[in-house]
Amino acid sequence: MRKRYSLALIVILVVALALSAGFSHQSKAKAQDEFVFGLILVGPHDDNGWSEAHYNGGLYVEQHVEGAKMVWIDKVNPADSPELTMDLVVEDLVSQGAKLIIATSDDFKADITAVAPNYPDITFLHVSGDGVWSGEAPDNMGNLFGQMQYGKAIAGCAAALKTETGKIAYLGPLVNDETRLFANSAYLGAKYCYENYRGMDPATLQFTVNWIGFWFNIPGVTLDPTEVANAFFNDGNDVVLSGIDTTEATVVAGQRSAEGERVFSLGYDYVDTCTEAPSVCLGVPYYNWGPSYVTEVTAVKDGTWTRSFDWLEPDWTDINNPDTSIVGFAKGEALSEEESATLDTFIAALGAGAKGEEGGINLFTGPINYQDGSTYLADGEAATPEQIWYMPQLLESMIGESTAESQ
Amino acid sequence: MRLEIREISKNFGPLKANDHISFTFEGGHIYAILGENGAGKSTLMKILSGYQAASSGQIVIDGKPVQINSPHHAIAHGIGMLYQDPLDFAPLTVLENYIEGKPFSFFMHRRDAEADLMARCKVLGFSLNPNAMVESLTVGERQQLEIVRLLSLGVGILILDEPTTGISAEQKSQLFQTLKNLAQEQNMTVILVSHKLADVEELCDEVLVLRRGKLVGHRLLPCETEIMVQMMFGKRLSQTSSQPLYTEKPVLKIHKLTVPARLFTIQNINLQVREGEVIGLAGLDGSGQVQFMRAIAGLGRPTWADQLTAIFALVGLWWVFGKVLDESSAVLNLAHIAILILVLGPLLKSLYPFIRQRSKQAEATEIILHGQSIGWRGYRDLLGRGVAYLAAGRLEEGLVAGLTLVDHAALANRSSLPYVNWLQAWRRTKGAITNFAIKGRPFSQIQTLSGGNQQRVSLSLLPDNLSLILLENPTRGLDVESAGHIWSLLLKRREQGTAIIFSSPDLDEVIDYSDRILVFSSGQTTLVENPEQMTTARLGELIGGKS
Amino acid sequence: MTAFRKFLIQTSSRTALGFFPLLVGTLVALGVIVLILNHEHVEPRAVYDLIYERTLSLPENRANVVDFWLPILLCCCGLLLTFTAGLWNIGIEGQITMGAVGATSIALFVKLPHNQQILTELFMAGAAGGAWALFTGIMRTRGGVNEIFGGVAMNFLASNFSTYLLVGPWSPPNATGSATVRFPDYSLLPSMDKYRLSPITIYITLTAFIFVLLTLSGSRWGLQLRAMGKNQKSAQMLGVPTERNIWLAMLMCGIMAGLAGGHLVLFRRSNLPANVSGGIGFLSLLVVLLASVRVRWVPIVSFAFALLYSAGLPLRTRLQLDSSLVGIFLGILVFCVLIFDGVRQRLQERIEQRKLLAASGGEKSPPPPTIEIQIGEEVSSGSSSN
Repeated sequence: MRKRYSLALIVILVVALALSAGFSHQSKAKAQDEFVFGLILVGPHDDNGWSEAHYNGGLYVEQHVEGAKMVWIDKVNPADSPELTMDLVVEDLVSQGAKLIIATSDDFKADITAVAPNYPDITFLHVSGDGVWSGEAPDNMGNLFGQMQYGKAIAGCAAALKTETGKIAYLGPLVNDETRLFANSAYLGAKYCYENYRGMDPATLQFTVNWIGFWFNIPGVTLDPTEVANAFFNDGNDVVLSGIDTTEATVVAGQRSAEGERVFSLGYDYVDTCTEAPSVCLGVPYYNWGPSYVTEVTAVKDGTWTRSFDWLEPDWTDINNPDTSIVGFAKGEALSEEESATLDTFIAALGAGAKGEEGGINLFTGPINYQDGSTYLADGEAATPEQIWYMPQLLESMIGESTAESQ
Repeated sequence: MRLEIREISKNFGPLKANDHISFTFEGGHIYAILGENGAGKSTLMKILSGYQAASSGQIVIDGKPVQINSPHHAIAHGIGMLYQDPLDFAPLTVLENYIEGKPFSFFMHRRDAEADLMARCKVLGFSLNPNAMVESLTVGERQQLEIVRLLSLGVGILILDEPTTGISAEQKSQLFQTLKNLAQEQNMTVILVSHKLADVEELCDEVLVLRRGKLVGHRLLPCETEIMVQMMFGKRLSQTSSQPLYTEKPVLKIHKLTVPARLFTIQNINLQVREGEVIGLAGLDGSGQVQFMRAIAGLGRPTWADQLTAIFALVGLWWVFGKVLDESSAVLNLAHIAILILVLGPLLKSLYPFIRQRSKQAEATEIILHGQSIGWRGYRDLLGRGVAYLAAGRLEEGLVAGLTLVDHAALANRSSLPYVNWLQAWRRTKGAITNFAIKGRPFSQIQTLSGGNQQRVSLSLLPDNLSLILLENPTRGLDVESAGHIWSLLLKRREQGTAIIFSSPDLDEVIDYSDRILVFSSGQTTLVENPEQMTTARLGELIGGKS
Repeated sequence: MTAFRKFLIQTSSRTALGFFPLLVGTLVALGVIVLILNHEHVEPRAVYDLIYERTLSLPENRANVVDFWLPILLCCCGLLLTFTAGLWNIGIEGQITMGAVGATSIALFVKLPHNQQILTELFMAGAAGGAWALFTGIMRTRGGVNEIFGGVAMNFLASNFSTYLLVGPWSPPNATGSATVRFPDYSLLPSMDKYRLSPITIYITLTAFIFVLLTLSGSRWGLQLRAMGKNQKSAQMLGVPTERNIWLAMLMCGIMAGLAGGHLVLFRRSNLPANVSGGIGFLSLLVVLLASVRVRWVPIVSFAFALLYSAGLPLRTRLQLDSSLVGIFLGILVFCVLIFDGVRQRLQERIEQRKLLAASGGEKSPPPPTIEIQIGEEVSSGSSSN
């Protein structure tokens, strides 16, 4: 009986395969001038955050580069797709004709670095990585990132303008160079505005960082961001800056505001984050990947691409220009007109500083010390891009862990 | 009520389980339906009680022809059936079981139902605790509950299928008294299905005999036993005689054994068993006979290794979970605690009997087999030392449903070879089929055999040269012929010096085959040295606590 | 008796019935899947196309499927042993995880000559998985903790332990805590030249499969496991060392699961990621269930599963199907086949009952005796149908 049964199974399988083989011979004719690029997303493509910003960037390329076609896969992370490996994903995208593959997570660094050499004809772009600088990246892999430290500084400034308790909190994801930088620049922005626009003593500003352990909440693995945000407000912080991919900080602030508390929040990553609770949202520093993707895709298509770490500044003439600026700041409803004007002044000054113009601000100018008191920048010293990217600690007088060891 | 069956037939394919049976049962009488296994008794009863439909024929109750399509229907028409082994019970209390199945039960208040139940019990002389769980009741008590329940549903015809299997002598006499009262005072029709002639003679007014699906005899009682046997089997049966074969050499010594049983804890059992001796255990159902035998065989009592490992596991888990509990968030801890309870709960439960045993000065206890203490050894170990145990539930503990006879032979054969010698197993099975008169083929699955044949297979699987065989109710559910054969096989074993300890609710069986009888009564044991001078009545008194 | 029933009995050679659950179950499942696809506005034909093209059309793709198949088959081999013995080894996920952790502990921190390195890694993988399973087995026999609860608890502990390692001691600097660094090349299982396949894993899986096949088809131990699976109490009464067998079966299963976990980290991933088992254990449980614990079906069913699972990626990237959909499809398939297998069993039982009755009543019975007493020559018939 068993024999017959397994025989039956084989017969069915063979028939099914034969049928499918019959269908499979209609290969899709490709347009001559088609250019396919692949996008690997770590989260869902509609997550209202990091991954959706990238996805929209891809759509922008399809609209603005003739013949460009995006192939993409989302949720490439161990929790959602444990069966996937970077080899398989890249192989699949390449088999669809992708000539450029954009890996959009810090998490992909090791895997994409290992896979890229197997496809010398394909160009790889790792977003939020430093492979080119550290020398790990193979010849066909570049890095791209936005200078979000400006966005974070603007967010920090907005928080400093709004706070009455003098206590600001930063809801951090996991700890690494990138996230430390963002927390630090938020602090620097807050400190500057607190001192210069509100005329307060910067020593009375309390800036707390707490890391949940990952980019988003994983029950049982990370701290619960909702709990952390609540704890921040319980401790007397009245503004919370979100550094994570999801919107818990804004949601919690909205709830507590509805109960009559004077609390505010700032989002991150995605331009529309404020819609979760508009009345408490001071704004959101966001990414706009479209223009930079267009540049990269065009370069690869035209054969002019070279390996580099493109760490792009916002377009200082209008940081919110969707066709030019990689980093923007969307103001929230909770910002008063006066504060909004002050913020514009700050942004203009930042822009001037970045261009080296007179009267501009460079926040990364000494003297600045690390948390443990050691010197980061001597008096009058301006940081190089490498010094900005690689900061081993939080800055002096910030409260919070500099490394992940406690976790 | 008057129940008339006309030309009832039931066919399973070409097999005629019931073949044109016609009879009239009058109210106020107690009928017995006799027949060996497979004669068609059960089929007839299933048709009457609505579990099966007849292929043809008619059922008439009080002059009206009725259609019985389901057990519900049957009860509505006044026919209630009491099963041999009412084992399938939901986890309900006595009272819930009583209420369940009543029409409009949700309008009935628990208190009223309880009063009703108690009143009915009082009339019948039963004592049931309405709040006890049904599964904790003895078979006899379950029967009582079922009878009360059926009566409360207005049943006028009561069918009992082997009601005396598995209940004590006292419960039996009470049951019979109740049935007689019901017939005489309430004009009930009582139908007893049995193959125990003694029961039939004691209780019934008339007897019907079925053989091969046909009604082959109808007699008014009393009538000679021999005639009934002839009607049933068509031949005479000779009583197996039992000659004592024991020597003075002791096989087993039990000193100060304490056994927890369902009703009482039996303290300080002392017993010496000699080579070739047969010891019968008598007592009310659940008085500790089974637990006593299991304790000897190393079943269901804790051994050292068990408990030591459990303690290690406990400590280890405690440590691991302690670590985990220390360092995570509150939500996670809830999950941890849930698992902790799930894992540690059963663990602690398994430790409990061990602690209890330790606390009752179990050190004084000694079980000695051939001069060696076996108090902490398990069954498998003891099986190697010549102690075998046959449980009452053959397909539950003993034989593996789904395996063939040959499989069983291969399993029971001890060998260190990694593969199975199927040829040898097949030969052994063939031999067993011949020697033990098993009706079955070597490759039949064991559950397709009848109860008697299963018991014969169990016996055939026992290793040779055993020192001691322990048997729970060895002839449970067997007809007279099978029981006799089983006993002849067992008694043959004595020739090799094997001692036998068995329990049985059938006092005649205990008296007939035992060299000595150990009586269990209210937590005490009494040893009867000379059973040949015993009568059932006297033994019943001993069980009941009269010395 | 209706004509249909007659037909059933006449054609009730088990073959016809054997076809039934698979055929009907698969058809019903396909129907449901087509409905879902229609709802998602995807043409079923395109799905067929794609599955074939991306899994079987090219040697590289076939190699991918096989690479996915091997660890599943290895886990299935272990599960066959425990399932036969009536042990529901739900803890297999944790055993895979621990196997991966064990292999990683050597791969990252020990450097030996290549052969010894690989051997030590695989040994640790098997040992860690085996220990994890054995502990569940000990809890079952000694502690009275059902292996299902024990397994769930051990899964939980294993996944917490590996997470702890990933965010703690084994976390690479500046990383997100979702994986360790990539292993050095000397720690990785060698690959075939042409295809990405590990010969060592192929040998291990083949050995395991043959071992299980032999064990369950002809060995004394296999027979004992079978008896225990059907009725453990009875097996014990027949003299089977049930406790030892439970430990052994769990240990074997744990070793195989651990080796599968080792393959995942030492070959497929080249690092230890979070959630390394990734549901392979549960997938194997489904395979063994679907194959009704029959050794010979397991490779085929598991291959079909591996095929469908490897088709998940192209379905996602080309047809933009949701990542959970493939899992749902598999679930529907298993569900349907199991339902119809239940129906088959009931049908078969009925038919066999009928046959049995027919056989026992087949020979002519002697003329019926009259109501009068007959002192006959006939003993009883052997029928036990009552």
